[in-house]
Amino acid sequence: MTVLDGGAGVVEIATAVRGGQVSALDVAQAALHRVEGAQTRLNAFTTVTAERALTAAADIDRRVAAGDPVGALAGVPFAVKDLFDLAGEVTAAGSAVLANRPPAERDAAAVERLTAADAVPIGATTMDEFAFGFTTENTHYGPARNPHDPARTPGGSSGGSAAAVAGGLVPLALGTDTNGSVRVPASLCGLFGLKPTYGRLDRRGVQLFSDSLDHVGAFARSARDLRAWFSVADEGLYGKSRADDGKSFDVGQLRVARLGGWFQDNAGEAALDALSAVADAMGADRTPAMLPLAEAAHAAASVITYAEAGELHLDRIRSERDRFDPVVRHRLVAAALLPADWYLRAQRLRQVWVDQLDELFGGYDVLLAPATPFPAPVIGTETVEINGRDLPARPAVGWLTQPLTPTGVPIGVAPMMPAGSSMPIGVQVIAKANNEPTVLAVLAALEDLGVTTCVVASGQAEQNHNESS
Amino acid sequence: MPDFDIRRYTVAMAELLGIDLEPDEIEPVATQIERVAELVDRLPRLDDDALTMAPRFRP
Repeated sequence: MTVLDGGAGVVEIATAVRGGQVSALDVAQAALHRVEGAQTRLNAFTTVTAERALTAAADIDRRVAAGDPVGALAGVPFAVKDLFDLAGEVTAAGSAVLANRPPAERDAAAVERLTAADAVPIGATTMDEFAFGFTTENTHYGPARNPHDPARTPGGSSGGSAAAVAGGLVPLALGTDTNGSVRVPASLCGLFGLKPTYGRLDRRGVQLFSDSLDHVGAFARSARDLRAWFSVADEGLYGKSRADDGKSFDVGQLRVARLGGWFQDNAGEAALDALSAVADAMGADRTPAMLPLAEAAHAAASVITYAEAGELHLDRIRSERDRFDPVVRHRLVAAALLPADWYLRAQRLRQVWVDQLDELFGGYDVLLAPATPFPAPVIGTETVEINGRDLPARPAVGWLTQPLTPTGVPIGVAPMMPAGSSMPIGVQVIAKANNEPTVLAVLAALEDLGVTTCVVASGQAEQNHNESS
Repeated sequence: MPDFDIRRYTVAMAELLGIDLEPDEIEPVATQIERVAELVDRLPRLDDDALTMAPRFRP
């Protein structure tokens, strides 16, 4: 494998470009070639910024040749969910309603952090319209597909970003997480994902969905790469990044528990097996820790999301409702009509829920839970049987991430590959607010121990199969 | 479930907010509101007077 292959990671590419072993232009061209080649199979991208990418890459090469400084992520190709502003491009948020608005004048803050480090934006990725979904089934742009099996969903709503990284098109992609929209696709595509603490990363230039729940996050194929992203993304708002705090982290000293109750009752066999493997590796307590308000917190997160999304889109609902994705339209109209007392009840529950989690963190440093109840279902699946119950597949895939979002704590996803399966599933690694270094250190430890598995699903095996049949 | 008729509420609120619902939109929108109402039913009533949504500063 070389750094021009789809399997090359963030740190590997940046090191090679900074050292002059490979040109950023070759890296960008190789990424653009992969994106083009995989579009029919994965439908991961809605916009490709080839000209910008090649111009930025050529500028990096010029500086490397001249001995001028280049950034920490020099030449690393990255993609962004189609709700991050890219200067000169229309941010459509997976909608037709916004597709005719003027191009963005400036990059979103999260994109600026990356380009300031000389990472190279390759394009915008497919998502559920306005991020209102967990499966990236989009009527306007078509569904994004899971690189491990294109008949299956990559999860959502940042599904295109996850597919782009899991498929080896780019080593890094930005997403957002409101109810699990980074953690669910990370789980279903077998990626490392991180949803940092609420408010930790600047959301300027991001099309919001539910203001009090929206987080900026990212996908990568290694814990090291995810940390490289966070150390760049986290600079600026609060000065030096906290990612480096974890350099001498002693993971063995952490007090770890697995969450029971809601988080196990709604998890299938693959999810529980993955949880056990991570919990055993981390020396977690055998007895699960309980959060009795988890089911109510799931309900609260849903109600808050509806109410805030309805308020956000009210003007468009009045005037351009027929241009919304039919999958989303009725949800948003209903959302705009909800009684205020429902929203207030949900927000009050949220405070009690935060207190309950705080109390549990008095006894533990890290909590573990499955990221999704089941691996990726086939696109269009209506129900999935879990523990003898038929769960509605589209909403239920977010049931284990959703309750945790209102707390705003940082959560990573460790990718796992169940024995005998070709479809991955993830485990959430949960820490106290602003303890991203703890999350990143645990992910790195699991990687070092060989517990996690993240494989590039390039589609080569599938292509070989198709060619030989 | 709420102590009001969700379909009548849907029509009335939409009209108040200037959302001109087509007749065939009423049922699917009302069904969505019913689903949210089911979620609200899972929220425990919190009677603690100290509860607030305003910022709480701890020492």
